[in-house]
Amino acid sequence: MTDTTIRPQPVVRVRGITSPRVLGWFIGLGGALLVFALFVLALGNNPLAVLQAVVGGAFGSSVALNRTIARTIPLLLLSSGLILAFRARFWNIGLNGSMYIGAIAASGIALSNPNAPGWLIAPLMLLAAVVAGAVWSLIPGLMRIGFGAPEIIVSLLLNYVAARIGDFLVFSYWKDPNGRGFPGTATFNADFWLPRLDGSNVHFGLVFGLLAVTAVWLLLARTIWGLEIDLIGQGARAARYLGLNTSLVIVFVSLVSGALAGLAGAGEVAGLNHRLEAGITQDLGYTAILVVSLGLLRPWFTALCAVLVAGLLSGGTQLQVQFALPAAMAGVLLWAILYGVINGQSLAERLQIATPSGRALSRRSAPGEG
Amino acid sequence: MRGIEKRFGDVLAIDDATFEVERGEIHALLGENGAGKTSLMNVLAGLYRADAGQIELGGRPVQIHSPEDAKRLGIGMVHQEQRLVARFTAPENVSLGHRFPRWLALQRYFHGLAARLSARYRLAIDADHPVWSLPLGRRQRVELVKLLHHGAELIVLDEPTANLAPAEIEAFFVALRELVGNGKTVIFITHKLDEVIRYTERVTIMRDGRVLATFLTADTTRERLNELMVGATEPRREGVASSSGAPALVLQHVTVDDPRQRRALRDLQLAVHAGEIVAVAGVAGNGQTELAELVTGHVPDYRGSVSVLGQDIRGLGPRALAQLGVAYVPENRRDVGLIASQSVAINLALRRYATAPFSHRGWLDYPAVRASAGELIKRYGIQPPDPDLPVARLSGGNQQRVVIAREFSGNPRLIVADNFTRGLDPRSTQQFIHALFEHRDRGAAVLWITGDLSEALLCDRVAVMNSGQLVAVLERAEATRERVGLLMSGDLVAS
Repeated sequence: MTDTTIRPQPVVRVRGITSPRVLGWFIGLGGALLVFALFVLALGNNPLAVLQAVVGGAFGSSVALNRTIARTIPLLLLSSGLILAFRARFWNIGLNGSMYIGAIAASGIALSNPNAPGWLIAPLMLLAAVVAGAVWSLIPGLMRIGFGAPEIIVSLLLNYVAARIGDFLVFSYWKDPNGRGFPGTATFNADFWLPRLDGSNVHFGLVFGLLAVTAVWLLLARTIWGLEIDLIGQGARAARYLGLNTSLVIVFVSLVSGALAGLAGAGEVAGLNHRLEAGITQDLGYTAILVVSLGLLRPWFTALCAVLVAGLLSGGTQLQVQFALPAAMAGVLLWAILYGVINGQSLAERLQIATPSGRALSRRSAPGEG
Repeated sequence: MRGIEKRFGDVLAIDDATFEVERGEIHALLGENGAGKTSLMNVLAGLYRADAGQIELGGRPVQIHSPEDAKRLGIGMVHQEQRLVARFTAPENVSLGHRFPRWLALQRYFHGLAARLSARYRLAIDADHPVWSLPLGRRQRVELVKLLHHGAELIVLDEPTANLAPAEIEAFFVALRELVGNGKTVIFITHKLDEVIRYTERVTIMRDGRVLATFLTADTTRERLNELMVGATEPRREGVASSSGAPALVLQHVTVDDPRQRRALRDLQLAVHAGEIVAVAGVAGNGQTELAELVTGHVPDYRGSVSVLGQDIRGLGPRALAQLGVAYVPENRRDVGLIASQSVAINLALRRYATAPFSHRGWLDYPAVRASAGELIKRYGIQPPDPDLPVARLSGGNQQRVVIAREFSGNPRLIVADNFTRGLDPRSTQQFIHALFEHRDRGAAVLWITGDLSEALLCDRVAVMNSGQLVAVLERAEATRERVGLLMSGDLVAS
């Protein structure tokens, strides 16, 4: 994630700079689809049929839609927190770990109080997940403030720590005695489950997800704190000149992004699986990085991209079922789209710099002294 | 170099410049800040591409499109800010940029090579310590050895003595003599007359992007050079302060230590009163910017006492001081004073967005921000007059207007302006200097940091800075061009 890959949008919608970026976005998308089509063709399949199957597998039936929405819920929570962190140029790669820790905390509450009333335990699970995720994510933030430790490295490595803690628990103390060796806990008391829409996988986490997107949008577009996040992200030296409290903002964005990731983890265990399993996050903490990059760090556009990415992930299984293509092809398509869109963006920006009115953007523009 | 021309946007940095150097001489390129000296040499070193003109080397026309081309032709440049890898030792730095793969750059070989080169040209270097631990004079020698290693025959030095102590300067020129004696050619960029007279064979003078003349140094005088360098254009003189009021800024025995001992401020004593403009004159890099940062709350560690508008500023940050009524136009407007990707409207509101009417309990009121921006755009003539445009899309001069508009509005009580006219055309310069004086007449105190003598002489008093010290504070009547100029260059010690 270098400076050119993700450039947060200014709060005030800016004329002229928006259109080439959007254009670049679609050119990138088209390019990626084209490359993917060639790839599929080389493997001896009809690309249009493949695409149709993927879209059908994502949105074509109620079962498909069900699966897609279930994937969308954690992505909404993860990506709205990540937007804040990335806008402040705090490269928090550790949401997968926070999500894991959130799932573990929620599971811990559920497993240690199997007979307590549901109205008490269910909210407590969510609260524990939020707090645990936030604290976990605060570690790289504090290390950055205190020692200047690069948050990319610290947060990334903490992901593995979180995953090992989870593995350890589901393989040992929390392992379901009746699970026939399967690495997972016993199913939680049904009173603790998050409510669902009848006959679907759409659980109450969706409400939290939509609230998170709305709140992040309001914060960024309407408040001075959102503006300050952008100011610190877009002009570190200017932020110092203005006397903005960068440390406070880093603490804030790491707490919020971690808390929402923890909530996403709790949603997976309390809303979807009803127990903790090894690999519960399905690496969605990383997928969220892709989502916010596609979404250009704009809250609503990112939410739309979360739906799209969730659809591609769940529709991708059709590749295996219908065409005997490897399931990993869905991943290939996703990352090709990301690659295409990011390059389309850079291209759009470069073209813009080449025009006379944009000259001030080029690096060597100020006359040297002397 | 013939008929060289270079534009940056709509600014003509070099205008039809023709410049000749003979093999085996030390040639000074003399001019004030912004005269185009460095830009011209950057064209020679392949960093900038000229928009017009041609370069000949040894009688043959050459094409220089990149630093790589320049290196191949034997042209090397030592820049003002040094470009060494701080953690590496001298031999390691010398080996950088080599055309062999890095793994071939064996340590022992380069150790030996650096030692041979430094012995041959009598440039003693310290081979065992990382360069960050060396004094600046030593580091410069490492750069020279590096250039020589890469086969430089024509060496360009950009203000090599700006950060050197007098004794180091002497040693440095002895080393340069040695180089010239070995058939190398040295061009050195400077605005110090004294060094030109003492150490060079010929001198070329630049002003406003144009080459004025080239002389044999022996045939000219210091006064003549000064006259040509500064030019006769005198900005309109503003009236003297009618009366000065309470002290707005008081520095008492202020010392700032810096581990690298470059940016230190030493034992500053200064008072600026309401209703007066005090110039801080000095050659760039002598501590003026550090002074500006100190009084605007950016330096937490200092000794002595600083009081602003009657309040001790220890523990107060930039934001608290801005709220007290301190405006600060920083020297580096693009990176420091502005947020390039944000709109003009937001940039104009950076000091005020947290207060009514721009926000209420944390909720931003964009219509109010835009409306206020519209007024400022009109009053300060910002082009194009579009509050929604990202400020990066404005020209350099208009970016400067945005910073000035923001800092000058809101009735500041102390204005700290650091070289705020740099990059503005003469008419806007005049306009904003006038605006600064209007603030003074309204009762604001102004600290105007400038490297331009003509600007300094407009002020009510002139404090001269050299090597982190205020060497003199002169009343306007005592501040003559000659005297201030000599004090700035460190040639005259205040009595």
